[in-house]
Amino acid sequence: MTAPQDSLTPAAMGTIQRPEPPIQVSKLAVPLVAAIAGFAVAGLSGSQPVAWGLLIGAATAAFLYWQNLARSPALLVATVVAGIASLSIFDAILESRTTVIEWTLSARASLGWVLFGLVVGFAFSWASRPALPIQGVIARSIATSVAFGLASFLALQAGSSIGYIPALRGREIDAGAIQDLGTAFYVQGSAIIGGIGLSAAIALRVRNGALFAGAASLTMTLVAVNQIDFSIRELLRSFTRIGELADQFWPPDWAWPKTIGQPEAVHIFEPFVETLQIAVIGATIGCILAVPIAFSASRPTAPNYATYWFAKSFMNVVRTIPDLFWGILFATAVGFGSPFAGALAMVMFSLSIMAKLLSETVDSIDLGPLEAAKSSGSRHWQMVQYSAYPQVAPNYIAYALYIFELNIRASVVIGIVGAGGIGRLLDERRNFFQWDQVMAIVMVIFAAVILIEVFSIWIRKKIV
Amino acid sequence: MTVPDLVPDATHDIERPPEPKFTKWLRWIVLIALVLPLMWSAAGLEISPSRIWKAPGQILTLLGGMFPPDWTGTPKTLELILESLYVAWIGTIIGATLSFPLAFLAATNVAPRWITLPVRSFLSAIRAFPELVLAIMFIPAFGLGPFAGTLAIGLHSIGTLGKLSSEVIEGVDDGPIEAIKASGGTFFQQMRFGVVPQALPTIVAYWLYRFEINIRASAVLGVIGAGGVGAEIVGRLRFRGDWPKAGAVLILTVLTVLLIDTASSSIRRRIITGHSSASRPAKWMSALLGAGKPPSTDLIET
Repeated sequence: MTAPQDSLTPAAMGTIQRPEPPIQVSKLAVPLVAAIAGFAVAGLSGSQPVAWGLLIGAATAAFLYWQNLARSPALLVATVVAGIASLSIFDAILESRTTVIEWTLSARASLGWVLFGLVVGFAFSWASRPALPIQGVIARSIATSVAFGLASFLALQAGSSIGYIPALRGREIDAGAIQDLGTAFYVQGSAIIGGIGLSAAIALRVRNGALFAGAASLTMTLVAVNQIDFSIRELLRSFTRIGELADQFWPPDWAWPKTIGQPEAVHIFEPFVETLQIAVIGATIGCILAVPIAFSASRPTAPNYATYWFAKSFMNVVRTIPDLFWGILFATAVGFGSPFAGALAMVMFSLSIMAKLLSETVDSIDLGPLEAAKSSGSRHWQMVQYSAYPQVAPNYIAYALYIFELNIRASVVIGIVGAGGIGRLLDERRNFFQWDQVMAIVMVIFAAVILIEVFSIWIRKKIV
Repeated sequence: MTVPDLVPDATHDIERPPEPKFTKWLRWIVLIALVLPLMWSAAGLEISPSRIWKAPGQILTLLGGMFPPDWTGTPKTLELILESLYVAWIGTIIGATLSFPLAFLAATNVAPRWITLPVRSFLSAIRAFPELVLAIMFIPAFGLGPFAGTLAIGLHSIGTLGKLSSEVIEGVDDGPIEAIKASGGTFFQQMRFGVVPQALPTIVAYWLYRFEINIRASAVLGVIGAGGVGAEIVGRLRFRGDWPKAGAVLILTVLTVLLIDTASSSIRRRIITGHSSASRPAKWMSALLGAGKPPSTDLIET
């Protein structure tokens, strides 16, 4: 798997390898200074696309030079020129739009980036020519340009649908207003497109996935922070409000559950008992129902491939749906606020976890006893019962205890979505803005969760 | 025909192992210990046989109402799903960056006891609050919207990732740390060159796993108004009774989660086990079915 990197050097051809020339920082400084100066000039003169194109091209060229990927001045200049040209094309197509950005426009505007990718891909692979045939150079150029084009297309599409392109947010679209593409657009667009495209190019060249992952994560973080308006400043500003909030939350109101003057006064511990009951039903029924699914979803014990596939897919789909979504679904089906919905949701929750854990355990059992049972003429499920089940029974019990613990934790919050238990009370008090009562419930939940954790650690130590 | 004679003799001579004591009793005790709480719970929740009998029909009615799904709101739904992804991502980034230093302070093999004890209790304290409860507490402070949800997920992730990462750090080989110490390395150098290279792959795999969990959590957070796709689902099901649209939202959400789970678990597997030698289609297949040969790196934690 590491071979390609070695075969790129001329050593493979029998000649003595020349040592790599040392990187001369002074030479690197020239294109960088030129790029920054050009950026400043272009930016001041008001030509945004030229400025950003120059910056992107020069940054790429500097990277190529610094990483020893391309040393030829012609290639470096071509990269810078391609940067300016491609961003100009990109900009010209976008500026000429008369409607919101839709699929075809995104595709056309991405042509600029396709051009840039072609040049960059060529520059990246040209130096490795002796080992890499010319078809390889072409193939990599095309692959890089596709990566750039795709990145650009996605960025534009995402930008126009979720609004990082400033003009196209919410009501403004309906009003038909189209503003200029601002600096924010160029910064974010360049970050997304450059990040994904360049890292794809680099990943192709050096076969390093970590680099790609790093660039992609950085890009994702930039986009995400911008999208959800996450800012540290806002966080710090909110801390100044903590004083007045504390007055609402503190002291917790312990008395209300008993003094509430309604016929069906809710005691704070009553919903807690309900939560516990939901967890008991969920864990017990779920763990029992999981057994046939787990044995069907495991190769050695599946009766046939169709059942195996069906059980496995069922398991995966059930696992994908969060427990609280099950809560909402069942609440809709059997009635909002009913703990029965919570119990059903917990059954699905336990079932999905137990089926996965158990089937993975069954995957790794000793096949000897199974063969013995089969060769002495037992039916399929007899084999499972007498040869497979005893091997996993201890794990099963351990998992069941663990799932019971998870169930209690999960059933605490399931009421928030309308499925009974203490969560229902929490949601109700929250809707009345009774924060001191919310605080009391949260403290009880906190104590209960800690208690359960301590207890389950103790029990596990006892058993193991 | 003297052969059959041998058989009764042989069975006579071989001693049967004694029956394990109490097995019969144990079985009954376990059964009672299971059934009694079950009955108590069923009674407490007013689950009667007629209710159980009716439930499948009610669920089928709901499923029938959702099908065929109404796809008209798809762009809006995708937007909300993306928002959920962003919330999960930033939450995971917060959790990962802040839990990383805390994990060192919580690991008994690299930090003194008087530091590990408070850090550990701090981690388990923040872990004890479910994300939803944290978000409910944060909404009055930070307002409705994804910001409160992000912070709730981030804070909870610090707790879980801190605990898992510190367990990884406790499991590293002491040799490299001692070697660096012996050659005069500072505490920071011991950590950087002795612990991090050993622990990082597993820790990064945990980060990715946390991201998968956080996506589910952030999808749910919308229910209480903390951003993301949950609001759409609960709104359609509960307040508007718009089942076909809710069905579309649910299907899109599940598909997204499934897609990201698949991608993320194959990356995790690669991080932990290096290259997998299976052919490409087989790899995709096994990633899709979640049935790889390599040891599972999953651990279920909510």
